[in-house]
Amino acid sequence: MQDLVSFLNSQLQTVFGLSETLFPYVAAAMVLAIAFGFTVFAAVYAGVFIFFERRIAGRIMSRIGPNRVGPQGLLQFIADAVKLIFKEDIIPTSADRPLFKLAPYLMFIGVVAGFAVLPFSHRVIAADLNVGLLYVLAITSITVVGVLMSGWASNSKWALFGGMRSAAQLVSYEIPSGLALLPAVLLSGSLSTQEIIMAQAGSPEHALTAGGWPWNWYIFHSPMMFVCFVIFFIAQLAEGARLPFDLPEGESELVSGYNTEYSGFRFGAYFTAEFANTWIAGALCVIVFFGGWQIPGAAVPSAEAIAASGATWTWFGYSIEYAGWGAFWLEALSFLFFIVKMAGVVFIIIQLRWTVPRVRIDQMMTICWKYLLPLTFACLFLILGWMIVLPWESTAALVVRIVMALAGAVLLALYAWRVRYNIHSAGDKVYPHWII
Amino acid sequence: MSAFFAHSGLDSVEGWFFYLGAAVAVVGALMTVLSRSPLRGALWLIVSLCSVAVLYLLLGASFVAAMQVLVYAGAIMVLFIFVIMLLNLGPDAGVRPAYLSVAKVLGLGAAAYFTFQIVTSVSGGKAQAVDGTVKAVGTLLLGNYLFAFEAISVLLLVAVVGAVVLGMKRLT
Amino acid sequence: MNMLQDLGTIAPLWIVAIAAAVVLLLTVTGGKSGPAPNTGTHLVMVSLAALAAAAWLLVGHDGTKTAFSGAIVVDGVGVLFGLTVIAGAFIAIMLAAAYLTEHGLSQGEYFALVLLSTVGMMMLAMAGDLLTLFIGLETMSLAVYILAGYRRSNRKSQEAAFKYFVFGAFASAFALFGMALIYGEVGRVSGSPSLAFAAIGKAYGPGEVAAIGWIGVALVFGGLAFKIAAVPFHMWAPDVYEGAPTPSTGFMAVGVKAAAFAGLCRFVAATMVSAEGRTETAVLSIEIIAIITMVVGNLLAVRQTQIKRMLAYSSVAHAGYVLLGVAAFVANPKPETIQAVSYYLFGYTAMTLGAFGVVLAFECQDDRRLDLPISRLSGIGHRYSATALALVVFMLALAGIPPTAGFFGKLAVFSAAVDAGRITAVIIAVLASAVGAFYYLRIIVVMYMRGSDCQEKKVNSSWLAAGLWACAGLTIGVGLLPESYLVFAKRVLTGWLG
Repeated sequence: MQDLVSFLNSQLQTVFGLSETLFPYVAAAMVLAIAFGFTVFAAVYAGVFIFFERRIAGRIMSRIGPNRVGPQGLLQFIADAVKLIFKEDIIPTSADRPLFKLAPYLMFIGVVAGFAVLPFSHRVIAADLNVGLLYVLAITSITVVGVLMSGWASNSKWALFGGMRSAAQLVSYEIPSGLALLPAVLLSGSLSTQEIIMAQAGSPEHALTAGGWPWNWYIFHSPMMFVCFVIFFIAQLAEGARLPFDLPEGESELVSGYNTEYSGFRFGAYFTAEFANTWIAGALCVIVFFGGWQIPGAAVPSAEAIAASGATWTWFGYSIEYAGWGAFWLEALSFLFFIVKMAGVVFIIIQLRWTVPRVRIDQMMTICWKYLLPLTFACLFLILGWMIVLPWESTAALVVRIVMALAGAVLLALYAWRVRYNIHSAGDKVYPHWII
Repeated sequence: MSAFFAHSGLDSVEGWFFYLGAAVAVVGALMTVLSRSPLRGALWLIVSLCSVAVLYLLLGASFVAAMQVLVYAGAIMVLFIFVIMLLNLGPDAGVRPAYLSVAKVLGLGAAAYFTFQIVTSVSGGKAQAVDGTVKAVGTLLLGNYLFAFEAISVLLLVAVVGAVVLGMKRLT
Repeated sequence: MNMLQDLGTIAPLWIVAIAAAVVLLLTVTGGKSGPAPNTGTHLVMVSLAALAAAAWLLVGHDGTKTAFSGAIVVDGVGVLFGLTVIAGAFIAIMLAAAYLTEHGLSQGEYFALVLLSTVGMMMLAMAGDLLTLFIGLETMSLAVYILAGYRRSNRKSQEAAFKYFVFGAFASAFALFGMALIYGEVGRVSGSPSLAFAAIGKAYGPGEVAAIGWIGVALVFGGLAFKIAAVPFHMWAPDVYEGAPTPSTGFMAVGVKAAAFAGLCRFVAATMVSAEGRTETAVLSIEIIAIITMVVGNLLAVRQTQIKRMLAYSSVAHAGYVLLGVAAFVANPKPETIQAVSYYLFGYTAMTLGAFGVVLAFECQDDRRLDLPISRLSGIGHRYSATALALVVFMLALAGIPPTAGFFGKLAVFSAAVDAGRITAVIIAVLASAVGAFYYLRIIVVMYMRGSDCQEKKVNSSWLAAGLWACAGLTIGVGLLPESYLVFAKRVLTGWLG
C-alpha cells in the first residue's frame, strides 16, 4: 500500500472495475502523471521558496523585500516566471547548440527525479525503493553533468570556469555527504527512506516513547550523530552550490558561472532546479536526522498488521483505523510536521546565505578533504562502537537521547534569542516588537 | 504473432523497457566511439551507462543500478569530462591516422560477427530476476566473493599509492 | 573457524600485503635522514623479511588447499610460480635499493608498490577462478605501471608508464570481455554461469561450447599474452623496458612474465586441455604464436645497440620458448611439463634480473636517457672483473649454454615439447636460440675484446653486490643442481590435474 501507483491501481480496479490487462498502460500513465505532478510541485515550491528567500534577505538587510504583486508579494514569483518565459531565448553563436539546449533540462530532471523517493507521510510517497537513499544521491549527481554540459556548451570562459568548479565541488562533497548518511543506515538497517523514518521511534507501547518525539530523532542519538548532521548539512550546502559554497556562480569573479550565457526560459529552468534542490537537501535532513513525518506519540501500525487489514494507528491511547478517514487526517498532520521541520532547515539555509561570506576554492577543497572526510570516518567508527555499547532499545540510550534532545532545545532557544537580538539591535522597524 | 511477442518478451512492459534500454545503451556506446568531439563522446558514454543501469533495474538489481548511476555517471564520468575540459580538447583533438579506416572495417566486421554469434547462440526465454537488495548483495560480497572483495582493497591501495607517487609535488 | 583456516592458507598473500602497509607507514613516520627522502635500511629489511617469510611458507606447503570458496587454490602451480615471483621481487628490491639511493628517489613507496604488485602476482598464480585471476592481474599491472613511471621528472620514464598503462588497460579490457563471454557460455552449457576454473573445465570438456565461448578464450589469452609480451602484443615492450627505471624493468621482465604464465597455465588447463576435439587447434594456435614470438624476438634483438632494448627483445624471445612449453602442456597434459615451464621461468628470473643489475651498475646518470649503449661496455671486463664475470654468467645462461639454468630450462621445455610430438616447433626453437646466442655472446666480446681503457663508473653499493651475487649464485646453482629443484617441484605438483 505504500506504493502510490499500485495503491491507485487497486483502487481503480475495485472502484471502476478496470481490467487487469490494462494495468501496465495505466501504470505508465500514472507514472507520467506523478512525474508531471512533481515537476509542477518543484516549480511551485521553488517559486514560494524564492519569495521567502527574498523576504528574509530583505529582513536581514533591514528592508522590506517584494510586497507588491499579490498579498504580501506572494505572487511575485509568477510575475517573474512570466517575465522569464517571454524574454528572448538567446543562444550564443559559438555555442554548442544541442548541448546548450539540453543542459538545463538535464539539471532539472536530476533534481525533480529525486522527489520520487521522498516520503511526505506514511502513504504519500511515489516509490518506496529499497535503495531510496542511494537513489537520491545517485539521481541528484546527474545535475553535475548538466552543469558541466552548460559550462562547456556556452563556449564562454566564465561558464567554463563555473562548470569546472562545480564539478570539483560536487564530486568532492558527495563523499562526506554519503558517509554522513551511513550511520543512519546502520542504525535503521535499511536504505529505504520510509524505513529510516519509521526506525526513529521507541517502543510503540507507550505514547511517550512511540513515534516522532525529538528524543527518537537520529540527530540526538549520540554526539557523533549531531556532528554527522552538521557535516551532512555543510555537504548539502556545497552540493546545492548555496552560499558559502556558491563558487560555481561566484558573481564577483565569474559573472554568474555556468549559467552566464543563459536567458529566458532556460535560465528559469536552472533557477528552479537550484531552488528545488534545497527542498531535497532539507527533506533529506528531516528524513535522516529529524524523524521525518513521524508524529509524536503516534505508533505506526506494523507492516504485517497492514497486510492483514484492520490495522490501527495508536495515538495517546486512541486507536485510529488505518483504512479510514481518521488516518487521512493523521497523515495530513504528519505531512504538516514534515513541512514545518523542512521549512526550519530551509530557513537556516537561506539565513546562512545572507550571513556568511563565500569561501575560496582552496578553502572549499580543504574543508572537504582535510576536515569533513576524516571527521566523518571518525564519527562512523565511534557510532559503530556506540551502537554496541548502547543499543537503541536500552534505557541508558533513551536517557542519553533525552539529554541530547534537551541540549538541542537549549541550542535552539539560544539561536532564536540571538536572532531576535540581532533584529532588535539593527533597529528594525518593519514589524512591531511583539511579533518578533 | 503472439508467439513472437511471447518469445521476444514484448508481451510485457518490462520487455519493452528492456529493448528500449538496450537500444539506447548500444546507440550511446556507438556514439561514444563515433563522436568527433571528445566531450560529446563522454556525454554519450553517460547515456550508455545510465541505460545499462535501467537494464540492471529490470533484472531486479536495484542496488547495482543505483551504484552504477552514482559511481559512473556521477563521479567517474564527471572526472572524465573535467579532464577533457581542463585540456580543452576540441573536436579536432587527436590526429586521425590513415589506418583508421582499416580499423573501422575490422571493428565493424568484429561487431557483426559478435552480433551474429550472440544472436544465434543465446536462446530465447526470460532472464531470472535476481534478489538485488543491499542485503542480498552484501551477503554475496561477504560470503561467496569475500576474497575478491578484500583483494579489491589491495588493488585500491595500489591505486592510491600510485596516485600519490605520481602526483606528489616533491618526490626527490 | 573455517575463516581462520582460509586465512592460514593465504598467509603468504597477507604477510606481503601487510608488509607493504608497514613500509608505507614507516615511510610516513620516518624522518628526513638519509641521502634521499624516505630511504633507509629498515625499509629494505622489512620488505625482504616479509618476502622471505612468504617464501618459507610456500616451500613448506603440502598438497592442494583451497580457500574462500575456491577463489584461491594453493597447489603445485601456485607454490612454484609464487616462489618464482617472490624471488624476483626479493632481488628486484635489492637492486632497487642501490638504484633509488643513486638517483635520489624515495624508497618507501617503491618497495610498497613492489610488494603490492607481488601480492597481485601471487593471486594470479593461485587463482581458483577468473575473478581472482583478473583482480590479481590488475593489482600486479597497476603497481608496475607506476613503477615504470617512478622517475617522474624523466620524459622517457613518463612515456614508458603512459604507453604501458594505455596498452595494458586495453589488454585488460579485452581479457575482461573474454571473461564475460566465458561466463555466459558456461551458463548456457551447464545451466549455472560460473567463473570458477573447475566449472569452466566441466563446461568446456564435452565439446558443446559454441564459437562465442572460444572467442572468449582467445580474448583472455590475448590479455595474458600482452603481459608476457608474446608477439602480436609485444609492441610496448622495447619502449617500456627502455624508459622504465632499470630495477622496475627487471621486475616487470621477470615477475609479470612468470605470474602471467602461471595464470595462462591455469587458464589453458581449464579451457583447452580437456576440450574434446578442439585440443589440436588450440595447440597449433599457441605453437604458432610461440614460433613467431621467438623468431621475431631474436631477430629484432640482433639489431639493437642499446642493451635494455636488446634485453627487451630477448625477453620477448624467451616468452616464445615458454609458450612452446605451454603448447606442449596442452597437447600432452602432464605435471612434468608444468615442472619444466616453472623451472625455466625460475632460472630466467635469476639471469634476467642479474643482467639488469649489471646494466644498473653502469647506467649513465644524466637524466636524458635511461639506457646503456652496448658499445660503452667495452673494456669493463678488464677494470671490473667480478661484475663483468657475473654478466658473462647471465649472458651464457640467457644464450642457453651449460652448465647454467638457461641450458637446463631450455632442455626441459624442449624435451617436453618433443614428448608431446611437436618436433617441427622444437627444431625452429633450437635454430632461434642459435640466433639468440649471437647477440648474447657479442656482449661478452665487447666487454673483453674491444679495448681495455674503460672510462665507465660503476655504482658502488653493497645491496647491488648482494643482488648480483644472488642472481649469479641462483643461475649457476639451479643449473648445476637441477635435480633438487625438480624433486621439490615433483613433490608439490603431486596430484595436480587430478
